[in-house]
Parts: sequence; structure tokens; C-alpha cells
Amino acid sequence: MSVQKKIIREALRVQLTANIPGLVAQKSRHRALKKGDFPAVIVYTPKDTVDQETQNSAPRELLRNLTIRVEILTNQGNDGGEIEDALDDLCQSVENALGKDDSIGGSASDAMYEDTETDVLDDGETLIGLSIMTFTAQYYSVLQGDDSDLDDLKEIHTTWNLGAAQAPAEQAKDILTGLNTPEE
Amino acid sequence: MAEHIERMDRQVLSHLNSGEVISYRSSVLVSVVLSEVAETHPIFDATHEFVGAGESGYSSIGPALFCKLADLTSDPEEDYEQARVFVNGTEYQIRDSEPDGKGGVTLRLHKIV
Repeated sequence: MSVQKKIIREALRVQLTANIPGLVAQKSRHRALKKGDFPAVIVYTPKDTVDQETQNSAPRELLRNLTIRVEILTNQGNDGGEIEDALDDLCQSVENALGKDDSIGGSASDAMYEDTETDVLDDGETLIGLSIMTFTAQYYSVLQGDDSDLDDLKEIHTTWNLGAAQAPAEQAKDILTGLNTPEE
Repeated sequence: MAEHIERMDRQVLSHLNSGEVISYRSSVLVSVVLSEVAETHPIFDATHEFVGAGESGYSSIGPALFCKLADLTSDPEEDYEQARVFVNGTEYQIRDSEPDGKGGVTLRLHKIV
């Protein structure tokens, strides 16, 4: 089974390239870009944090906040203004693409835009514009094997004492059975 | 001393010809074909240059032209925004000019997109 972070990254790459014509998604952020790679998008997830309140759930289902970085690079512009305009258009397209489906193809519960940093670099054959957009995606993960030492839950016996004022003979009793069904 | 270096530059440049057709056009559209100047041939270079852009960086080239200031139709120090260099038909703008103080100048170029 793929790690959920990997699924989210891949789903976001697909979502962005499907909605932004011409955008070239890079699978690795460790390979230097070449001339034909522009406009380029690089998606990576540098941070994954757990909502501490969900640590007490049983079975342990953790709410996670995944930091997603979306780098956009373009070489379409002959001066800083043109490059920034091109970047602004691309960043808006990224926001719009994510706005169409903030579950990122069903891989996350939600995705929220945080901020964008922009820079124009003048080394190389042409000017290069770079925007780094940050998003936070929320998703849940269930820790496997967390309850492996517990017995199976087969029956629940309940007694209803309304207002804590009923005599034992008046209290309703329920027995819930058939709980230990196999997982789908 | 500067005069000797300039003479030596001219001698070296007169023997160097990498075959490109190189011209320079000033902001007032006065052009000169530098590669046809009898005594000096400009030197065009475009070696690899790595650009540290984002996480991955960009494997690019750094186009540059060395020529004599006197051969140009404007001073690239002042005319860098509008002047253009053409190399085999490719148009470049000047991103930086580096005069050597001895009559030569290296023009760092950006390709027009």
C-alpha cells in the first residue's frame, strides 16, 4: 500500500497538469531542470504533523497536516515585470485547479492555501521566475496493529438508568451482538 | 601599458573567428555587424551555467560576448536596456556589461523569448 503522502503528491501533480495546459510536472526535485522543462511544476511535501488531540483516539486514527510545496518556474519574460506577470497567472491557475477539488482527487480531507514567495533569477540563458506556493492538506491515518493485544469485541451489555433514578428492575437492558464482523 | 594590452587584444581578436554572424544594434537602431569588422572578431561564448532556482535548479548556459567597445554603436553601460546583440539570428538583450578598462567589454546576455 502506498504511503498517503505519496498518493497526495501524485494526485496533485495530475490535478495541476490536467487543469493547466502546457505545465510540465517534474517527478524529482533533485534533477536540474532543462530548457524544455518550462513552465515547470515541482510538488513535494517537506513536513507532516499530527494533531495531538487525535492521539487519544481508539483505534488510533490520526489527523495529519501535510505541508505541500508547489514550485512553479517559468522562463517566459524578458524583464522582471513580464516574468512576475507570467508567474502570477500560473499561481492563480494553481489555486483555481486546487479550488476545483480541494480533496485532491479524494486523497485528502481538505487542502488550504497558505502563502506564496516569488523570486526572479537573472543567471542563465534567460530570466527565470520562481514561485513557491505552500498549501496544507489534511488527511487521516489509522495506525495498523495498534489494538493487536486487545481481545475482539463480540458483545456489548448496556443498562439504561434514566436520570440515575431508576430502580434496577425498571432499568432497560440491551445486549448488542454480532459486532465482530470481518473487515471488508 | 593599457595601449599595449589593447594592441594585443586586437591582434588576438583578429585571429579568432568562430564563424558566428554577430551584430550589435543600439537603442536608436544603429547596427554594426561585429563579425565583419576587419581587425577584430568578437568572441561569443555560451558555456554551461547552473542556476540555483528552487529545489532542483536549472542547468542552463551563460551567453557572453567579448568585443571592443570602440566597435559598438553605443555604450552598453548606458544603453543596456534597449541595445540588442544578434548571434546567428538569435536575439539577445544585455543583462550586464563588464568593461575591462583596456578597451574591451564582456557583455553578459539573455536570450529574448
